[in-house]
Amino acid sequence: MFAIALDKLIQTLINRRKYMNFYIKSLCRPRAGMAKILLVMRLIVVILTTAILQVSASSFAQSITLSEKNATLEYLLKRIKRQTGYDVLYADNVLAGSQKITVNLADVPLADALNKILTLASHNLAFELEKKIIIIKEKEKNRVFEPVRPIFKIIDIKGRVLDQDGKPIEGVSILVKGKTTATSTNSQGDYFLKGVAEDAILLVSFTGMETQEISVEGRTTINVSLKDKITGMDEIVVVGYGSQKRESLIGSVATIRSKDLTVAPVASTTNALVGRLPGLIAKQESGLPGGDASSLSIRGFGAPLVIVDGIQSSFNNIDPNEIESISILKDASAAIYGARAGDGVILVTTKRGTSDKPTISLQSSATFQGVTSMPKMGSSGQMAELFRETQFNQGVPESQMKFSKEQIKKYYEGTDPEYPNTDWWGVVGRDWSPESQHNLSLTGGSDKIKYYGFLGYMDQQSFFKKNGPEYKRYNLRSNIDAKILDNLTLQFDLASIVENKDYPARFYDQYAIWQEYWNSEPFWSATLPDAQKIPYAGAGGAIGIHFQSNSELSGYRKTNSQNLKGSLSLKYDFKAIKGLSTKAFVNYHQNYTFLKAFSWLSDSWSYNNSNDTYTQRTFATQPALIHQDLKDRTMTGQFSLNFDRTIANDHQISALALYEVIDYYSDWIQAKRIGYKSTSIEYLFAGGLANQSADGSASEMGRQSLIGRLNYAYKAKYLLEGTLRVDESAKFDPEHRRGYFPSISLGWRVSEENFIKKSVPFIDNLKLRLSYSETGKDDVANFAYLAGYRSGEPYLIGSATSNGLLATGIANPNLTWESMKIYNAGLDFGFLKNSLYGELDVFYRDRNGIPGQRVVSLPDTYGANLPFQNLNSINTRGFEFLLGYKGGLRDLSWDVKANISWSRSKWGYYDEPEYEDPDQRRQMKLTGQWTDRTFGYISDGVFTSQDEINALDFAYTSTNGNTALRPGDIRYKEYEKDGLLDWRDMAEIGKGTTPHWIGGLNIGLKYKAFDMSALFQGAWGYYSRIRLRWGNNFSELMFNERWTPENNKKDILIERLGGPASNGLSSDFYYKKGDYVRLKILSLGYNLPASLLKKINIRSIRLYGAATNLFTLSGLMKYDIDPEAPSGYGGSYYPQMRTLSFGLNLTL
Amino acid sequence: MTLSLGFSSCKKVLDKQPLDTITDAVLWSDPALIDDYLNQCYSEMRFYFEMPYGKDMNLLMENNSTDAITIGDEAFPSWAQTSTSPRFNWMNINGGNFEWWGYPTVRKLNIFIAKMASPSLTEPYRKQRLAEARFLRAFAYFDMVKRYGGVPLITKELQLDGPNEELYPKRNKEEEVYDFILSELDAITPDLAEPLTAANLGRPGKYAVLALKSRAAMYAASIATWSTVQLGGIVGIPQIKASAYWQASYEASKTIISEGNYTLYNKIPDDKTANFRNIFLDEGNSEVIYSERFDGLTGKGHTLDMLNVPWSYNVWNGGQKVTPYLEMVESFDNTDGTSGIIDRNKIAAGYLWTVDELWGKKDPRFRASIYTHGTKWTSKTGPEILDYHNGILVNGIKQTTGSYKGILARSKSIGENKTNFGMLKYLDEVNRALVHERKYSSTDYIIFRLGEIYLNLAEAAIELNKTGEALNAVNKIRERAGMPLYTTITRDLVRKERKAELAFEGNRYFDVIRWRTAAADLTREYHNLAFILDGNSYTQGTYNVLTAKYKIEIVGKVGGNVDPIFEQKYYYLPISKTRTGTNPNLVENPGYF
Repeated sequence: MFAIALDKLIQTLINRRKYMNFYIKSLCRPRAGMAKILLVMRLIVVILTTAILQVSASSFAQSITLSEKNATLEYLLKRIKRQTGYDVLYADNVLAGSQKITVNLADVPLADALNKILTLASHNLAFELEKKIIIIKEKEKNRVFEPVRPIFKIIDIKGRVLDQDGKPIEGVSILVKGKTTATSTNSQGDYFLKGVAEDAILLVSFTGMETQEISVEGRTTINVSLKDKITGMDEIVVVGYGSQKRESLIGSVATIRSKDLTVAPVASTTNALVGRLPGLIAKQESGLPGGDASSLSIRGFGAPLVIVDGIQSSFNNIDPNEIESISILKDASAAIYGARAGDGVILVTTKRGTSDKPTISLQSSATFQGVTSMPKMGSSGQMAELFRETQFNQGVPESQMKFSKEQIKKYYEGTDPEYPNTDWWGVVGRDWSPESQHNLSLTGGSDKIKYYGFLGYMDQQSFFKKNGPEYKRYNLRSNIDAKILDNLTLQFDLASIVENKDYPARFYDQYAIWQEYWNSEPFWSATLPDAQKIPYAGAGGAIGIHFQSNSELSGYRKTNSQNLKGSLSLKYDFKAIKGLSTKAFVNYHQNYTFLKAFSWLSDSWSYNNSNDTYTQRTFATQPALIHQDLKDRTMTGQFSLNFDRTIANDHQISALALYEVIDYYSDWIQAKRIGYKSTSIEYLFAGGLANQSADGSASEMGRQSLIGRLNYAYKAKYLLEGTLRVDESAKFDPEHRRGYFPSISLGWRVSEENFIKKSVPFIDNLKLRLSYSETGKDDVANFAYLAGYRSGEPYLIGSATSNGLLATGIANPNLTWESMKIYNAGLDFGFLKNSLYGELDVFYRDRNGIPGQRVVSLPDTYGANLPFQNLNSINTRGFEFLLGYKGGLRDLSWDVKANISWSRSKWGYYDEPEYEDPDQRRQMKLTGQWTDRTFGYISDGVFTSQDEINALDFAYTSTNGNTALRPGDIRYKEYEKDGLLDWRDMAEIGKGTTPHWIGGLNIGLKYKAFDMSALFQGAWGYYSRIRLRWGNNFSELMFNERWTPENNKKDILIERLGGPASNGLSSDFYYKKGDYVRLKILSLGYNLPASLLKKINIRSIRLYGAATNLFTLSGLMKYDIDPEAPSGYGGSYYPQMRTLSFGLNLTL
Repeated sequence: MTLSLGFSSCKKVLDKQPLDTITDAVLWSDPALIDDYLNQCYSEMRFYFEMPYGKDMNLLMENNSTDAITIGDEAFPSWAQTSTSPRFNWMNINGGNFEWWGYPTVRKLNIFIAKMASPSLTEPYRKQRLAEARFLRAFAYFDMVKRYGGVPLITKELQLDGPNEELYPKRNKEEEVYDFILSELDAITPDLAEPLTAANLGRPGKYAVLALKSRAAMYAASIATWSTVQLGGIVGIPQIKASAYWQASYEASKTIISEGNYTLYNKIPDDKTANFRNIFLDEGNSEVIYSERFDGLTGKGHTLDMLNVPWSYNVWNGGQKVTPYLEMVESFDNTDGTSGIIDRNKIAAGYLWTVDELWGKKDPRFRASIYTHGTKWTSKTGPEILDYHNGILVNGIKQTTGSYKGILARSKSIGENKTNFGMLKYLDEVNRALVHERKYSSTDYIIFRLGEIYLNLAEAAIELNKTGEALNAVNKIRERAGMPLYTTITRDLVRKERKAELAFEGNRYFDVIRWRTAAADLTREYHNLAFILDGNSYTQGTYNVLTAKYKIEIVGKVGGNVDPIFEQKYYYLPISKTRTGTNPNLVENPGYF
């Protein structure tokens, strides 16, 4: 029954009934529409299949049947186009003089039909049939009066067209200037032109590339190398809910394309953005496999909204090879995302199919990762010496000393097996850890259906030799575009990402495991005579790094996440109203994350050579197993109307109206058992019953929005864009859940003015942009308008333990989103045929209503966490500048781009008390001050003599006077001259830990088949807290750079060890500028010659080598600290990696 | 399918609720949930001054040496870095350490007390819970007044739009806070049931209220007797109030003892050490008036065992976090009535001691409260004897490396305990698994026990010149402990008894504070002992800790080369810069600026 109905429907569809309207309407209609929706869902699948079949099976009619009354020529040609599948080409005004005619043709051959129609409609038109193209042109005029030309030889020309990378290009059009002779290249890039005059001029053109004019000059073989168009003014830039040509863009939008993302293999796509985009601050703070994504911030704001193919989702685990482009929306251009757009928007667009023959590419790379910079532990002798020195300085009596002089001597000698010197770094680590990436993509299609398929695999291994953390990722994508009818297109996308993080148990973050490294002492041997016993390394109960970094010894922590995304969209062009279309888009996105952590401790031992006995240091514990399942899913629907039309040549109007609805749900459960008797069964049932626990929760949220946008351009010179978004969010009280977010942008393409074109011809592009927008930020706690209670601390009454109930806080129904006002002014320019180009943007952002608790201004005797209120404000200002120079000389071409940006924020208002004490006010008052001031004591090197200490005219309070001070201790300056060094002497010692200045210099060079790309990247105007000790142990650096009576220098790096508490005061002695410049990426590629590849039927092969973080200049390097390391964690985080990669890109 | 269902009704997308919260209306109509609300208040209380490294390890790890036991003169926190800075330096205007500014709990209790007026609840239930909440609130104020002196008395739920004098309160006088505590306790005494049913263990009964009164009144009396009134009475209490407070404490103690519901624990009269140790392990015994209950198997456990087990018998950072000073060890006298101080002349002469000579005669409470070299211990692999020798004496010369006659010399090596003593009180080596898991210990922690009440009585009696009663009370304690009885009594003897009997129970620090003797008691150098094994006292390969002989070394400067200095201002914690900054009506305590 159903099948019959379905067949009928399909039949209807194939008969081109207008079913679209019904589909759009019913998609959002409750209940009644349900059955229909299901039907449509099924249909779409069938249609898709049918469409594919049709493309391959059907051939188009070569004869024409037409019966029309009083029809325009344009209309008739369209009908012919549809019947034949031929493209019809004609110049803009060619049809202008034609008349409406009435025809009645039945099964007439194409050429005859065309002849008849053209003759009827105009006396001045002729046609040509070229492959599958019908060219309509004016009859050649004035032939009679043409001067008599000299007679030239007619020759045949062949050749090949290559792109800048030396890859053949298919479909390049080659026209003989002034003639109708034309052809195009085949898949090998080859062309053949028959019967061309030897003095002819060839026009070689291809979209996105510079058209070339080539004089034949009698040559019969002409190979052409096409260059990418320099300006990219035709470039299509992805913007919110659509795309625009670069030339008509008025927003501040920075874009990066696939090619630049994949210069060097990176594990996380975010790392490919570092230094490339003006206004984007990217800082990679870890090298942990699977956890090395850079933190991103646009203009120093908070975390931006990331939209991948229309859906809010993360992109750091998308393979960079499947990304087509990434756009960064910085100003009013982001406003169309309303309440979520306040910190800017990152739009990620994946690749789609083309209407070409299938292209199969294979990319494969091997990468070797090594640590950039990391403090290392001292030797056992050095360490023992420092322990003793510290204790000596502390006044510890000889009998209490950890190490005697003789012991230190023995450690240095290294001959007594009781006194080993174990280099734990060397024991557990390796210089180069492997990473490999492979992916396969398939793209192609016809004008009816286009497809893109991607399959990627990545395996990233760690610094640790034995069973250390490992990250594996599988990316799968299928993006399909189908033209179901000539005015109905469908997109069907599926993407899945599977990630496996297999970590040792202690690797719950990028820091924890390093504590074990710093707790493992060189005084313990890494091997024992009894190889069955696990050696103890002095790390207390944790045994040591060799144990904790090995998941076979200490247990594991496995995270397996599955991310699935599917979207379906239909676009329908209304025939009745030119330029009007409608689109429906739905997406389902789900994440499953399974965590399983199984951890335990083993017996460990130390060995005493002197009496051949073992001492047991730790005891095996019963393992513990945690199992956690997290689920979340998001559903999105977008329904839009689009209008795009040029009226009376000069008025270009486009408008968008869109309704968006998003529904969120997530839940998680967790279960834990401990007391496993053995490690052989790794499931919950086998655990002990005592202290088992289970937990879980769920949350839901929703939002809906109405979005409107209007673009207007007059003569493509004066540009206007206005947007309005109305957001409603379930987070807030029904009375306060709606927000209005408008924006307006103005642009003036000065270069299009005649006075510029005439008088300053070297200016090719000059555009002024102004914008204002109001956006929001809604990462405010969900449901803060409701008061309630959640589970608190357990308490035991009688014999029943029960969790307390804890109030979630005082409700504030007035809470709503933060609001931002962004003012932006920009200038784009391109000079000298756009070879010198650039962009300049200045902005000011006023951020209001930042949720804060009135904890500060209301005394804490109130006794409750006050509700979040829209209290505080911050204003940020900054600029970005990009300058590029592109060009070429013979076989060499270059593209050099530099960008620099600066931003900094001030507290506009901060809810705080009126500080009465002037020093409190100076140090604590935030309103009106930069947000990232850091206060501390001001140091002045160290004391180099007792006389200096005696001469001090103030007293250190932290040491109750100066009697504990000795040479080598940090010398502070008094800020407030009151004779006491106390908190009043703290002054601004630096800025925050996020850079104000960031910059990048990208150099791209091509010479014949070789290409080179270098990216220098830097950040300035930030600080890092230097911490030199983690755990008990000392680094080699501390041994070499510390103050001693023999190394008595004022500007010593490290003060006297074991000195008084004053040495530990927070000061500029250990708060240092992090400024750096590093060669972030260097890559070298070579394209194998096409002649060689042709024989084996391969279109291109590129071989390359790439390196990241090759060298770094920074003041922090003298502390062995990487400048991108998180402040205060230079030696105890999973370090930055320097990588070397070798790869192969192959295209079939 | 799901896809279309999700959008089948677009309006519902905003119709969302928090799925994980209980609303106000539901809570206050359901006694089970009301009990849970009160449970939260219980869990926030600071009934005792931090169990040694027990209740919340992380808190203590972060705030080095904030534990009352370890900033006092009882023990050194072995996790603390040896420091060259004065010990109390962290007590400064910035605040933050060892604080308890309990207003969040007070607010919860104020709300609860107001809600208990609801007629929808049954009368006995309402009355009982109301009294409990008032007890907790009185206890909360006691915990604050003993730290800060006078604090603002807030007895109702403050409203955001309330008057400024409520939102920006002034500090009450110290005596006003104590008076409030005592009057509240008097008011609720009749409402609380005693004895408690098994299901209600952990809730205060009538005698818990009296015990708090006994203690709080004694603190108030001490302040009145020995403090200086400053800031117009915000800190310090006029002397004239002293005798009334002493009397109140005396009477409360007297009532508890005379009504006879509790008796001093004496289940193992033949083994005084085991008997004393058992007071803290035999839960709910006849001496326990009020305790916080723990059950490690149901998520309400503590970590005392794991953290205080002798070094290397457990695994997590070695245990032995609380290492008593030699001075604490020597506060325990001998059973023959002689002083517990080790003969310095003998030590200087290089006398070789056996373990028995050192510890054999000591107060049984010493062996029940502290472990050291020679203490018997049941480890995972069976019974053992703790061996803390550091070095071997070979022909009069101390050898610290290698071995001698097959015995390792053992220098003082990395990570070992600081004083060669450890805290045994509360430590359960038998019943509780000493596993590598936090919050696994289940031993109840006693808040009030009859032993303390006897000593409170003795102290009040001495100050009220009832010497006979004082002597009698102290002797009750000594008799049970297995120590010779006194024939006369002095204030110093009462205090000394208190130090030995109540060691590590969280009283000592505040005792020396309220007596105003901290400046003398806590400004000093602390010492430990080192045991140098005599190489001649054992034969090749066999070595018996108990029969071998040792040279003793006294090592000073435990914890660094600057001795702690207790300044006058430390008698009160700072209110702190942030709090006085946000409320100018809060006056800072003297000496902090």
